[in-house]
Amino acid sequence: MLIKSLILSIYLFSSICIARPVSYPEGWTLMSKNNSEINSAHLHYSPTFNKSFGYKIEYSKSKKYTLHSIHYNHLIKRWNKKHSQANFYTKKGIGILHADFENYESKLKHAGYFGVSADWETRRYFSLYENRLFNSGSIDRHFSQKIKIGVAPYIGNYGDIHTWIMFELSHSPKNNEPLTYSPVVRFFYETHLVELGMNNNKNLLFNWIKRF
Amino acid sequence: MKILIITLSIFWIVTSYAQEHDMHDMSDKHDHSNHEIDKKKIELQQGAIDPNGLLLTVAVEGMVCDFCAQAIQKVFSKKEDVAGVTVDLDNQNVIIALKKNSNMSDNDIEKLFLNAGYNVSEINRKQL
Repeated sequence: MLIKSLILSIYLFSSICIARPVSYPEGWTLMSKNNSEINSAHLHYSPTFNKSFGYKIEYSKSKKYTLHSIHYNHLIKRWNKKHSQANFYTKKGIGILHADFENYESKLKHAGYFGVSADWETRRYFSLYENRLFNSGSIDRHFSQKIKIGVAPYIGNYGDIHTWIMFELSHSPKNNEPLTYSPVVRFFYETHLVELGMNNNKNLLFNWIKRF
Repeated sequence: MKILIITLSIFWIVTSYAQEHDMHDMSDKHDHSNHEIDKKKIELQQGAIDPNGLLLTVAVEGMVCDFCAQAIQKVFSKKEDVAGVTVDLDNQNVIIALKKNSNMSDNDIEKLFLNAGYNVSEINRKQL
């Protein structure tokens, strides 16, 4: 019962990658993201610091489909500096898409996606660019991208609650409103990361990461 | 395509500006504090100090958040030679307490950091 409830909670409050698509060697990560477009959950395991494999489930609110996929993140390059870190990742996945939408004759489709992500951060500033090309044939084929910048109003030491004020700009050319923006506040405590925000259409955003 | 170019340009400008600004901001703080850590008693977040062991102060590059700190702690706390480990994010240092008779070399330490995704710029050893 507890496991069922946990899976249901993950399903309802879930997402795509938020940041740090890989973990430390032998580390597990659970990520959840919810916004106006999707709900998704992603559980991954990192055998090394630059790779992660996992299972991802996402629900498209507008197209009304659920995608189950095997997801692979690869940290292609990391630049470590004295007070900063920059990363370049590829993210890809293949899976089965199940559409509820009555207009689709074929309700099960193969689907795949590929994207790149680049971030740069210090303890004070954060910036991210990421994109994704998604293809499931006749049901959905789209490109989306976003940038996110942030600043920490104070710098806490290890173990403190860290707070970030962020701004996210999303671009999905096929949407009714291709460009949306969201102010976001991020809280980071021990192994938890939570993001709360609202976009210009007053849709809530909720992201969560837990590391094990 | 136009929007792709604009978003990438914004990302690049913000990143360049922030990086330059942050370097100025942090450089003063780092210089005077590097060795202060040895003077005060260190309370290790994981493990303990072996009174007959070695205390290592490792200057690490790329350690910018608690996830980085946790990664490093997890990696080192699994090692038999390590009695305890703590992370000082303010000074970008990792303090590692080695057990007596530990034969972990600087090379081994650097390799562990590399495998965790971080670079080492300096290692100071102190006999307790």
